[in-house]
Amino acid sequence: MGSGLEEKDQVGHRRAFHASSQPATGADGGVAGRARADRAAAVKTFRKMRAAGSYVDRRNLCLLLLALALFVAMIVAAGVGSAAIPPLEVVSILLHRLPFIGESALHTNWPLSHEVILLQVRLPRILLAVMVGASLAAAGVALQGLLRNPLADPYIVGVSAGAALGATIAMVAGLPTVIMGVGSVPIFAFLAAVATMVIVYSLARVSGRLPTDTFLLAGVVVGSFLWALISFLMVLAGDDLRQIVMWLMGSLSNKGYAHVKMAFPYVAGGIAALMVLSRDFNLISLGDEEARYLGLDPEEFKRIAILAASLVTAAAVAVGGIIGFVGLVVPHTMRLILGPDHRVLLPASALAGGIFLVVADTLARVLISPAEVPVGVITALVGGPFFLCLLRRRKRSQVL
Amino acid sequence: MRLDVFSIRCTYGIITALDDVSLSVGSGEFVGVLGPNGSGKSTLLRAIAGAVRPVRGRVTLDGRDIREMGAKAVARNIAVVPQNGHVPFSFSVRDIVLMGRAPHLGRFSSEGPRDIEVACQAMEATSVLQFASRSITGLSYGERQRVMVARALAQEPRILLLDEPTSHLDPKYQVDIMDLVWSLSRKNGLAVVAVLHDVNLASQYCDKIVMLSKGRQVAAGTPKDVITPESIGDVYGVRAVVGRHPVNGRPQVVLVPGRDGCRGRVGPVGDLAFQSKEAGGHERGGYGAAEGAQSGGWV
Repeated sequence: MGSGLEEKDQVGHRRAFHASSQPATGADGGVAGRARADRAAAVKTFRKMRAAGSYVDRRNLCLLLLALALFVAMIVAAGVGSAAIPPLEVVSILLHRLPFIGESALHTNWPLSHEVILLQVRLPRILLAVMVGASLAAAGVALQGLLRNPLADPYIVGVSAGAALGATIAMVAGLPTVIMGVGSVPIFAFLAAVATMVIVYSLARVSGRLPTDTFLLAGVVVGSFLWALISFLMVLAGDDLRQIVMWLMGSLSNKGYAHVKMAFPYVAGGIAALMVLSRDFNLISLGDEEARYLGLDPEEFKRIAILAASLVTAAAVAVGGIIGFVGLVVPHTMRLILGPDHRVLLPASALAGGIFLVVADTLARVLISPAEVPVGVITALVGGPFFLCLLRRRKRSQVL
Repeated sequence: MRLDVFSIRCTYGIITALDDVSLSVGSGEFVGVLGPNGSGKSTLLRAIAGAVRPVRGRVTLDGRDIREMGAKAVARNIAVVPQNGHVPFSFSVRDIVLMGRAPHLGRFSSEGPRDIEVACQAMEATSVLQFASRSITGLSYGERQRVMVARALAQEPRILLLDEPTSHLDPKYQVDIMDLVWSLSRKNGLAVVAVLHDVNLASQYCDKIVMLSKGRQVAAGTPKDVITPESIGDVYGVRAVVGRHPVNGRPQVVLVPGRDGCRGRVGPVGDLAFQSKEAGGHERGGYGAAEGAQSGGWV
């Protein structure tokens, strides 16, 4: 076959494929006409489904509602506590601090104590809750999609165990309580988490590839090993034991802007990276090989995605301790409601994770005030039953 | 458009799955890959699609080595219909088919009207448009297989690879899928490479057949050249009689059971029962109807 002919063949093929369903010219009668009409109707339905309602807009609407709900949750949470501040006052105090709206527009008729409590105590804690919740939920979605395993959560790759070991070492060794404004515990936790990620990743790598199952197993095994070390340290800990246990259960108390600043770059960068990769998460959730057939290099993708998810988790755990259930329940809930498309699922889960943890943390600090329940206990107590209800209702309503 | 496989060798660890296999396919050609389980059929397909890197030899697309092309560029030219259409998450059919547009999209762009149009046409061609909003997990195996073909078509490939597209399918769907792929190769000039389990089905649709055994190529050529009692006996280890298809004269294999081949005889033997007057005028009569009708006996 001559090359010229081949060239024509290609062009012919491309055109033929697109043109194959153009209205047939000539008078082949009513059958073709009806087929054409059927097709036009089907295409129209398809477009309509996509354009209006069911496809994109409905999902965008969900994201908008979630963002709104997050905002409301933050404002309400900021007002709740031993000193109750009405939501309007919360908004006024916050607006008052904004550079341009400034003092001129608003009357500063609130007690100074309210302003101090809000800005110095509650606001950093709420911001932290949003960041940690969003991180854990987004990382959970990412790892469930990547590993194609519904049981995966941000902690399954051993990052949390690494963080816990780092934190435990810092507490047992009695390292200085303040380094760079945040204390040695979060810094040690973060560094140990990143180190664990590197170890798990290199253990699971087999000749340039990262088989999903191997990665999962390596994460679980390394995690168990590290937990054994932690238990050992706890036996030796003595007076620090209570502190260690509280940290392991996860808590956002006694944190300030320094913690927010420490975690923010990793959280923001990591979540942004996951969002950019969201379409590729759809492809990889079909399997490594199918992803490749659809033009995604699975190894390169896994490297970047695991790095992003792990950094996000490491930062969240470093400042919040090991808060369970958020990374498992929130992604599943969102998937049940919105479907498996990661382009919606990732941002929706991040927002919902933020909401969930803000609410849980508020409960944690007011339930038995002035004492505090570790927020990890609340997330498990509230999240577990809620998720089971949702799962049961869904199962009943589906034929599947 | 031309895909060439030059004497490739593929290994998994210390196991050699494929050795010294060559293949070549151009626009509008339909090539079948036959062989028993473990003969390296699927590995050949994966090597062509770039999922397995040959340790020796190369795969070229119009003379360009696919290793130099990058996954995205390969996926714009080569589409794969995988063997098991299992999808772990409940994506809708529409979502799955639109994923076929991924290799054509930039990092930050999302599907435009043209992508939707192409996906629509692909779904129409495989008659799955009516399932568009249903979840893939709720479809039957045959329907899912058609969705996978639709996704492959949405890639607007020039080469279509199919990995046992008819296994687990009812006869009707087997013929439907094969008819569909065959007509795509004829009408749109798609080059097709299909790994097939069923020798008789392969004989019906393929222009060329490559037969593999234990990772090596044992025969290649037209169905008539490749499908012989000897090759079937050597490769599959069974006794077989090869006759002609009564409608189009293409070779058809009948297995001979047991050692003496006369188990439970129910009628007269050697009566060329498949001869038929309809042999003429079939559109796929690759070997000429006359030949089929005139000497349609068993070899």
